[in-house]
Amino acid sequence: MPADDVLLDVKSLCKYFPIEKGLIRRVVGHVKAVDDVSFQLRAGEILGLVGESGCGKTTLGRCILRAIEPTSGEIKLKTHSGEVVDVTKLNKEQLRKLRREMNMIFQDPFSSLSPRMTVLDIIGEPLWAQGVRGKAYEDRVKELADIVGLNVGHLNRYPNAFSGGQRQRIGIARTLTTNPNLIIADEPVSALDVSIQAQILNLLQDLQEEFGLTILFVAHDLSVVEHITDRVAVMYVGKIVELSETEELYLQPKHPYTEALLSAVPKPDPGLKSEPIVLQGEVANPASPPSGCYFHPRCRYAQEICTQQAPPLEEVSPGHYAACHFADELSLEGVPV
Amino acid sequence: MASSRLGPAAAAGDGEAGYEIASQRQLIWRKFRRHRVAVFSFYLLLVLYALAILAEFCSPYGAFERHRGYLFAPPTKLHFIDQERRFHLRPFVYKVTNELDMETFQRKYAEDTSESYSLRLFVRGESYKLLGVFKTDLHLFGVEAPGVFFPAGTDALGRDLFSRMLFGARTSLFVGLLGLAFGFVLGLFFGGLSGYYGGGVDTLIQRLIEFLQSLPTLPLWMALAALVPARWSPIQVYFGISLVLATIGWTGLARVVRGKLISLREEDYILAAKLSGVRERAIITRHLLPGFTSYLIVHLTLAVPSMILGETALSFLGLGIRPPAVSLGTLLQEAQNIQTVTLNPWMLIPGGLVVIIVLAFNFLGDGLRDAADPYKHV
Amino acid sequence: MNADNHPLLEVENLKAHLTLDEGVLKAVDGVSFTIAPGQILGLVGESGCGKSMTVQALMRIEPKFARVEGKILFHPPRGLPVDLAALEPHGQEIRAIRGGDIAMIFQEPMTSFSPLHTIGNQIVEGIRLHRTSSRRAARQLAIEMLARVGISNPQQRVDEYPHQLSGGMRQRAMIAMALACEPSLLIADEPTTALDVTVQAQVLQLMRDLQSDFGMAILYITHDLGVVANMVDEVAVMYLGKIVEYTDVNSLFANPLHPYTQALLKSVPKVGKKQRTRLASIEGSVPVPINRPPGCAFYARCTKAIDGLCNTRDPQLVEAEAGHRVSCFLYQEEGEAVDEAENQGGHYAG
Repeated sequence: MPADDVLLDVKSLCKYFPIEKGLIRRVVGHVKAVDDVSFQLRAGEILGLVGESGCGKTTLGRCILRAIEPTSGEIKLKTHSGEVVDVTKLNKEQLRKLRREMNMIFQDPFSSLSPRMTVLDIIGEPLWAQGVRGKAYEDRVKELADIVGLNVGHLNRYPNAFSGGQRQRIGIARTLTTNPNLIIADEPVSALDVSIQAQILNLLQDLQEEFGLTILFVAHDLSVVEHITDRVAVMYVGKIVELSETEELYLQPKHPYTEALLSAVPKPDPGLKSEPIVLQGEVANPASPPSGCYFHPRCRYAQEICTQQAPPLEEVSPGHYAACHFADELSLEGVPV
Repeated sequence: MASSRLGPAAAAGDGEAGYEIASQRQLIWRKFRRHRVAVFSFYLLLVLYALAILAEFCSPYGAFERHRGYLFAPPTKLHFIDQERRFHLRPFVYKVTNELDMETFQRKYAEDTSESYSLRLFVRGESYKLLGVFKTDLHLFGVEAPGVFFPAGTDALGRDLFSRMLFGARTSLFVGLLGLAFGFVLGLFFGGLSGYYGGGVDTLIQRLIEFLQSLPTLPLWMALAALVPARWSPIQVYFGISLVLATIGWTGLARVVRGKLISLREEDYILAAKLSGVRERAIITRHLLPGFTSYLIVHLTLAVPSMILGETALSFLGLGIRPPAVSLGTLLQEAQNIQTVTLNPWMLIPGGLVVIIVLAFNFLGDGLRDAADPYKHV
Repeated sequence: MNADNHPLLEVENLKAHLTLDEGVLKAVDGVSFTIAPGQILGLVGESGCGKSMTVQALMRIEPKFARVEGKILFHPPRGLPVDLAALEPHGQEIRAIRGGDIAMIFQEPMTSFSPLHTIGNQIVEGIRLHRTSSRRAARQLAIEMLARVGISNPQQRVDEYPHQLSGGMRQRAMIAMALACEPSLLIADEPTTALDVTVQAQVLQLMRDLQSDFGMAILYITHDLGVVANMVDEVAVMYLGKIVEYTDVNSLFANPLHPYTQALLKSVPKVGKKQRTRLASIEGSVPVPINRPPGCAFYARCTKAIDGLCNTRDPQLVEAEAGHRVSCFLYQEEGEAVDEAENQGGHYAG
């Protein structure tokens, strides 16, 4: 893909958490939460990052923003001025200045808003941090509150007076105040009820279209991800195992894990009582993953080679990457349409 | 799962008017007002502190004013009805006389109903400086000389116990606060250090706290109190004792601060502030400090009684505030003999005051603790 | 003797009102449904709709400040029918039924197992209470049950503590404990909500298999319409403490009648239907049922609401089509609505 189209370029990103034991905290091993992950995010797209709990998707999102310090790797972000900076190499103050270019939407609309600040100050915090005060500050907050569908007259209230859906709108408004290039949305709708979830998804979609936002959408709900994203990356035990255009991934998955994941989603249609592929066993432990392909103990297509060699993430067809020795040979079943 | 989410939304639906724009502080106050015992304790303490601050004015006599004819006099009885069965709106006392019982060598007090003195407001008595500034001799209440009025009796030297209790309460109530202030600084400093930096600093401070907490309190107090030089003035001793109490008192607070800091740092909204580019210092002042002030206030309120009890205990043992300075502890020390219990039981009244003060602080603390979490209901 | 002609559970006009500082919260407000032996009934709704409180009222484990009214007629396969609503919440009778004839599984198995006892001991305790007093036989039964729910190496697992099992395994152990006493009714309160999709698929399949083996009836509480479509025979949709639609699962998805159900079904994104279109969302949020004014609970958010009717009178749950009950004035004649309002709380059992 053309280089000028790339907003975020992540190369070989790793995050290993040490496992400590005993009084003197001896390091006895590492949890490889994010293990050699590379991908690119194009300007103006929504990339989904899916996987089950513990697969490292949240850690990956937080590493990109350096909410967690990555162990190694490069994170190159194109700024408003067109300059490309490596986020991992910035010092504290440089990073603080760069924060206006990227922000995060949180999962929990309750714990992510300070109960002691008015909604005005919550939404305005990124502006405040950049030193904006007075009328410019208030006007911008009001503008944003209006954009996300909050009553501008309610800005002097405290978050406890708002419902979950409205709180999530407040959280979204906060991330937009400084007009960031990159937004990491960490399970933004999974704490919400179905009817509210639809409101927030619609809002995100509208905002994306209106402002051309680039969003890394971290989620576990495959139907939500399919609805909102342009491309999807599937993670399993710290690694991306498949990455492709959304539609293609759902119709023709190339990795057996994706296939199982898709078939496991309960479809809201009693006529479609297809038997899901029920995976055996449990998700591998990232502290002591199995040899070869991490998925092989649960894979129904596993061969000898899968137990010995870890398959690299390779382009199977244009724009479709999969990490499986047999990605070309297997014809896997996608979602029945 | 629904219930935890119900609280805030519930009130947003309808509930009390103005709830929507209530700040957290207002919510806490609203909740606190429902805790009747705590509110009562709050006002009681206000009154006690006011009495203590204005001790010279509120007491009928000075702390050291001796009534030579009235040693170990029991509390003077207030009367409303006189010998002729007439009712007086203004209470009065009879003249008190005494004679020595030559068999037991005890003074026997009796009322001489021939002379009576009405209780009056703003009586002139011993002169003093109000709040250390205004020179005056007005006392809030009392009887005209030569009548005497001892609401709580007198001690061995004929000093009015009630007046001395007010002066003693001043020392004890403020030694608690002063000790707390020292402890607060120490606790906030070490707790903050521990919670903010974590790692080795945290481990070191936590071990130190554990060590201090594992020492038996009383011997340690005694050892430290023994360090206070004997020739220090009462004021210096007073500070010394506060410091002694604080040296041990800060550990609990440090733990509270550390725990709260650690749990607050894990909150999503702190991360959100960090990701919004807010400086570390601003995160501390805007989010962390306001986040635990309510917990601090609760903790401090609950810590005052232990300070007061500490001072009382030390003074009782003769290691704290020393006579001639007056504190509730020294008053109790004077009462520590069998004679008091059998013959002059009113000398134990300061002990009752200690109990009331401690209970009031505890109830107040309980009420504040319940109110500090206004969202935690259902 | 009664299994042939009686439903297993008849709930009539069940109410659970909570007294709060702000007023009376009608968490469950006149709910009626029946479960036949071996049937799976789904109770669907968003958070705050009262589905969990319904279950708590059924098992008489409601909070202390709740008042339960109505009829909960339970016909055990052995013995006489009992009205659970009339029993003492802490009495002998209800405790004999709880965990015996009616068992329950929860959303978060970690909180429903005691962390201090082994899985085996907790299952054995239930078995000895309701089935056999022999410790040895009970332990053997517990191991069999663990094997039955697909826990490998049950001889060893039976002596492990809950924290040693993964989330999926704990949920399996929980199911083993619930089914150990061969209940005739299993109440499942969001049993897969906390699990990942692939594990959820495992547990759902297990529950289906066990249901066909043991033949117990299931009351399945969930907010996930996908799970509903795959698990249940009949569905009751709840909104704000009331059942708004009650029918079999096929007609619910093929032909939803209540505006709330219609909107809910449209607001769920579906896999395999990639469309960058907007979802149909329900505007506003669920109000809290404290001191609620009369009228349809969905009135404020309903796009088909009729002013003057929907906001003044409570609609009743009536049969709009064969076997398809709905509580909405769109399906009621004017006069009928008034009649229904007059004989308050009519029930539509059977």
